[in-house]
Amino acid sequence: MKNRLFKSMAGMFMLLLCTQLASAQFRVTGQVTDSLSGQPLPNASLREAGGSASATADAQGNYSITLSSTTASIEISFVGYRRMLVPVNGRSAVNVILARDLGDLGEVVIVGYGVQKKSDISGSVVSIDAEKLAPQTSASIAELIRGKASGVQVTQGSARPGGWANITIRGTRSLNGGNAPLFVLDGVPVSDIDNVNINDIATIEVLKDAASTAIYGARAANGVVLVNTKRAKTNSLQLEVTGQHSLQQLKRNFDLYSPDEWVQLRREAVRTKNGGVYPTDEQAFPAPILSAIRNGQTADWQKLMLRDAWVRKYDASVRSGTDRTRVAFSGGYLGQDGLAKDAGYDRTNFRLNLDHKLLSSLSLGANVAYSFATQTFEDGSWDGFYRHLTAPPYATPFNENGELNYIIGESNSTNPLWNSRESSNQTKYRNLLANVFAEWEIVKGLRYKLNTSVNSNTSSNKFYQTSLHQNGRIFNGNGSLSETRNTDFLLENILSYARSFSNGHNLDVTLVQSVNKIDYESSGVSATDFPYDKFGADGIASAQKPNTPTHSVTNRKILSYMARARYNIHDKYLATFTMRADGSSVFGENNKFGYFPSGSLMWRLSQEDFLKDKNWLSDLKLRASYGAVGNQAVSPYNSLGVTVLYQGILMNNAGSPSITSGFLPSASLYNPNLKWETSLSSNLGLDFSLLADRISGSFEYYSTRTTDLLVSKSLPNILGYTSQLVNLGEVKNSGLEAMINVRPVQHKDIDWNVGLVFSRNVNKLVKIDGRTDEKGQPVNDLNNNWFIGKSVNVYFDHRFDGIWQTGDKDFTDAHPTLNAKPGDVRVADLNGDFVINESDKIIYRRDPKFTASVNSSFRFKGFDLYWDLYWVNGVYKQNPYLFSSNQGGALTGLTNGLKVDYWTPENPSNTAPRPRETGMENPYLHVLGYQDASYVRFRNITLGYTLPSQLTKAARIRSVRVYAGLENFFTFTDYQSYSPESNPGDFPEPRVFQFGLNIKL
Amino acid sequence: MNVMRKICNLMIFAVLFFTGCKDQLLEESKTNLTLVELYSTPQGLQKAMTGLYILEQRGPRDGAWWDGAEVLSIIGGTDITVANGGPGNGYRTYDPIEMQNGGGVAATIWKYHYSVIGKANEIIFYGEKMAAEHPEVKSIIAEARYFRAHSYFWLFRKYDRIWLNTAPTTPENVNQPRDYRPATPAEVYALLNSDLDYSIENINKDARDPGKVTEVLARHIRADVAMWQQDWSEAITQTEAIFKHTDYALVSLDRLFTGARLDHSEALYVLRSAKGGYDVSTNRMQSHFIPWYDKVCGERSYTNGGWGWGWLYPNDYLFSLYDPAKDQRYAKFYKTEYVVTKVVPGMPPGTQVGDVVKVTEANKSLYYTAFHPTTTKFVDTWTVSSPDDGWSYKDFMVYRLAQTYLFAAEAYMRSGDNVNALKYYNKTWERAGNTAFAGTVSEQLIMDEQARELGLEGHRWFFLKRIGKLLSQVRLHAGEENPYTAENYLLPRTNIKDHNVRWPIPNSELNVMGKEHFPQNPGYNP
Repeated sequence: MKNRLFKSMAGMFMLLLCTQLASAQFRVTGQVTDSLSGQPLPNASLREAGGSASATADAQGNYSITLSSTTASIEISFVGYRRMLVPVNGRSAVNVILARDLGDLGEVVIVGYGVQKKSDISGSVVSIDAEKLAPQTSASIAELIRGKASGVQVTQGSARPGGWANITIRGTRSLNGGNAPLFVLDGVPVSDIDNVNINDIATIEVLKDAASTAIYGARAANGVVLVNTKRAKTNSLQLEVTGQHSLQQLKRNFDLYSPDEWVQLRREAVRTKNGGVYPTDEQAFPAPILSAIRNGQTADWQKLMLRDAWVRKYDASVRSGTDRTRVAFSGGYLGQDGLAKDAGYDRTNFRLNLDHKLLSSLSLGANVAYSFATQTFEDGSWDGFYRHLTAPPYATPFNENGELNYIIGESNSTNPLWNSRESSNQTKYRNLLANVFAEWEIVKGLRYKLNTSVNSNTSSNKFYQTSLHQNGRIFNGNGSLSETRNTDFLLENILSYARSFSNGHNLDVTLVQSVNKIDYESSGVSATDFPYDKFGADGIASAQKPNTPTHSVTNRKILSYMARARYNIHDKYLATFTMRADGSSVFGENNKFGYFPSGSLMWRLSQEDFLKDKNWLSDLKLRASYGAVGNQAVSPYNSLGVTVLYQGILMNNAGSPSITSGFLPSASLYNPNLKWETSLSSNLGLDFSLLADRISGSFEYYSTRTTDLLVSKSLPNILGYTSQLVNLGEVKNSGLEAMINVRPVQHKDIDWNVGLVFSRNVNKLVKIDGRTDEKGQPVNDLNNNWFIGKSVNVYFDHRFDGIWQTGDKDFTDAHPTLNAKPGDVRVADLNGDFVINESDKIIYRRDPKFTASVNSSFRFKGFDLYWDLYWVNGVYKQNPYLFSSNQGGALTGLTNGLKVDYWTPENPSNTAPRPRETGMENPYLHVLGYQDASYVRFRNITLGYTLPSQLTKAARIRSVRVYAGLENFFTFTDYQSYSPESNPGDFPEPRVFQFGLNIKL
Repeated sequence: MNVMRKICNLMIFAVLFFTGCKDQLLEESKTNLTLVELYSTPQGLQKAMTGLYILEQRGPRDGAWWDGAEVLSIIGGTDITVANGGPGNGYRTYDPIEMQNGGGVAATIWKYHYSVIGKANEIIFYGEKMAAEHPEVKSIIAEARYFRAHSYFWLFRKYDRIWLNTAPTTPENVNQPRDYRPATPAEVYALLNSDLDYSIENINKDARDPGKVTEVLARHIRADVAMWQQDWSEAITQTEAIFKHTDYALVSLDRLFTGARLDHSEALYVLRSAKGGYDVSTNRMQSHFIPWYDKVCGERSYTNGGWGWGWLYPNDYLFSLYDPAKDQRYAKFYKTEYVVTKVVPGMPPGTQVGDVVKVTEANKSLYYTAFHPTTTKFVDTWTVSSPDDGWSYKDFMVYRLAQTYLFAAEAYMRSGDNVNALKYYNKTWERAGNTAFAGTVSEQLIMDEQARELGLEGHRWFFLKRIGKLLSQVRLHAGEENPYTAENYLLPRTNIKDHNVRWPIPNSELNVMGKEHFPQNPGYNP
């Protein structure tokens, strides 16, 4: 009682004191909000700079503070946000918008075997927050990354339903091995991430420089992509449902010949052979086509074989946490119809992420994901994805009863619809990833983590061509069953220690030991002569001519030891050193282990006294790193010297010829001394943030030298081998990257953010196999199109120089080595010796000079609009639509194809040669195929609307968003195809309309 | 709590202990033998030899060869063929551009024969190591030495300048400096003679499988090698030794190329292929020679020869060498008429099934595409599933006894023994239904009979080169005058130059060996 009295007395006294001082006092009110979302920030702290007054914002972010003068400044701070100093300047209402502090604990980045404050990153890391990308609706992780991270090149691998994209980080380094980065899903290296549900992804980090990737040593030479899935938060419940429908359409930027133009092309082709005399239609056309021409029966094959196809995607997730257990459960379904009628993809995903605190010092967790997918393929027996272009436009695909005709023309004469009906090809994928981990805090600061996982991928294919199919009829039914099983085991022991010293110094040390074992098995059976077509490949047991089964087993093992130490002084200076030792089974007995050290330094200039008080500068830091990573880009058994199977027919002991197996060394000579391919790379980076984050970004320069490159060295054939895998070459990649983020408008109701990403990589082959010519100059490898000083990815061929014209006859007659006739393709004789040979070839670059992208997110109240523009510049691609006979480019008139202005005596075109019945005899025709495939594309435009929260709150719903988008809709390019990304003949990339609904509870 | 800790401690140490072992990184293949295993036992050596057979079989059959570029370039380019396009056509028309750098066909065949030689070298080397302990491997060595000799013989005849190598290539010696220089003919012949003599002596004498190396096959090649050395007596010795074998005899023309398996008494060596094996492939021999007759006959049919794309035909000069009235080979080896088997729209009015296609003003431009006479030696109605199927599994005849008789006839003729020359000349001549010849056997006579009997079987080019008539014969007779359109089928006659009696060496190989030691054959891009 006494005590209480004293307290109130003291309170009264204080109050009195305050009111006394209030004579010179000034009261300010306002609201504190988040700069991104415009949401109020409850409990933000306010304090008078240099004064004693302080206040705390209420639940709506409103505050009231009484300052000592009208010229005072308020210092506002909030956990996870940048501290801000606002001069009042006599205003009585000051609304404060706080920017999130990238340097605060609020934002940590997963850097491999631990997390790090984003502000402390000293290597080159791009972090992508999936939440921020929510307005954009990509189908794959690669598409999410594309255009968002500098230095990352994403190219279309296969656009078919269930297809994939290729990711290359900072250029091509390995000649022999793949250049795909290492994917680490929730701490587990996985071979691909295509089967991960996009909606489960929380963050994506791209580690680019050696210092960042070195921690993953083996397999990390091409960079690392860390993908983390969503986990539940303590004491919260979140439900989310998303549904999305998309419509895919095919769009080409070239014309086909109309039926009558095609007829004329065919006549011209036969005319050439006929010595310039037009043939009769009987000579020029096979009977089925002739009758179609006479009856005026045309066929629009694109309409008959392709369709607009829908994609359906539904996802649901529940994330629920108590203070001891957190569970995130999600399920998803993706159903994609293919543009080709028989192609499609169906996938069901489940994921369970579990965290449980067993004891205060011991927690357990598990991530279990299962996906089941079915992919079906269109008939590709002899055709590929171009029959809809090449099939003759005068044709009768159906007979008078509406049934399919088998023959429609001559060469490639089978009706593609027929083959499509008579074949089936289906692959089922089952993927299970089970990852279990335990974390134990042994004493304060010292932690041990055990991380184990099993990742099992199975794909099983069923393939059947009926006895009516063009190919199947040869065999009276042709079927196969095959299965590949890929199992990846991982076991990691991770010991880490962190300590903060009282003087602002921090140290943490991590030790890792890991074992990774990858078992790959495949087997297959095939057979011909099926008694019934009705069971397809499933009837294989009754097939009357089984083939020899196939089977292969491949194992790979990696043992790793890693140590990392980080030292940090006042968040101003930071140093990281890593040492990793990796042992891989694929190398020679004495070269199993590779040692990869790296180090990086970071200096935050903005924390220095001379910059600390500059209000316009929020952050400025310099980073430098240097390090080595290894690449085991070797398939197993190259150092062991295994034989390969040779099966053929020899007479058996009973005196009849039968299948006999023999073994011989492969054409590639084994190398017991194979060792690690090593990339040494340095990176310089500058991060900045200006005007309270209105402008922020980073610039990077890097240079990577890859040595002991695993090269398949061509051996002289006279030695009996064609090649040997050796450690010889050297490739250098250097480049510049920039990412700039500008936020011109930032307000509660209206917010606009523009991002610019620019990447330029210069790839240079420094050394191939060490051979030199007579003059001591290094020898290029023409077999592989490898040239010293040039990019690894080039074409080497002649240059198109127009068409030989009738008027050039005197010239060509005088130079018989040119072997040219009017209407032939003329290629440039670069050295003017009238001989066309290797020395007249030029190099066409296949790597872009640079890629750039602009993306914009705009929000006005409930509306959001996202778009991005992607620009790839300076890249050449060979276009088979312009020369390949299979793909309709050979000007034979046997097939339809891409329409060009071809040469005839009456039309002396200078762009395409004279049609010939046999395309192979049109010399240098393929040179026409080199086209500039640079392009600018609006990849994604999405407009969304989020219902006002007052409305949804009533229905106890957190948020409801509807959206519609256009993907790949506008493309500007000279490359004549369906898409400058995918190869003609491959499954084309569609343009997509999207409609979606997202509900959060 | 304490128990918990103990369990954890135990777990860590167990894990560290079990995973730290370096031996785990040693590789072991679970499906295939290693080289060491293969070459250390007679059983392994036998498996390697089987592998070499299959490698040899694949030569003109599948893989890169399936489209016919190589096999057609071996058969074509002579005085008795007319080339009608297809891949590698430049080698059949002596196109200066296509041949200039030794790319394409010349490179594939060079590589193929050296790969056979490389594997043979290994089998011989490792076989000899175990021969003292396991004398049974001598017969395997004999097979390998036959293959080595055969491939070197082939290369020597086609390229002239070759590098002789008899040592196995290993990771240890692959980078050692080597003395690259063209072997002299004497060196080549010395190796061929010793390899084949060893083979004849040591081969398993009981073998009678035309798919395998036999004593008779080795003697046949030994005789051919002797002919090239103009060692007529050796050629006579070898051929006479073959004729003593009662297992071998000419068969009737009806039997000669009939059936999927050509296991008859005339066959000395066939390349096999059969349906069913995973890696066992097919050949497209018939497709290369059968035209697109469906354009004029209405459909594909067995009557007209099944499937084909008509890239190479016998020419009018070859047909002029036969007396169609007497020589049955004219009818048995060739198809000169195509018959309408289905009447389809577009055919001339009044066309009926069974009509023989005749050249008309309307169809003359299709002559080379659709109904040029062709050879039926490769026609297959036994292993294809339908006339629309171009994938054949028929044996491909490489060497047969008829050629041995011609060797003998020529060797006796050149030794001045007309009696024996006549005896052997008449073997093939009379089998064809001709009345026995009784005059003097001349080079011209042998040359014509060689064409009549072995035409389009791949021996003509070498034969003409050996007797020094390649250039003159090609300039006079190769290709043919196109009677119907302006399209030129005489290119080989005008294109061939003196240097074309040998093929260019692949430039990529010269780069490796060093052009200063091993220059390109004259006339090609140095």
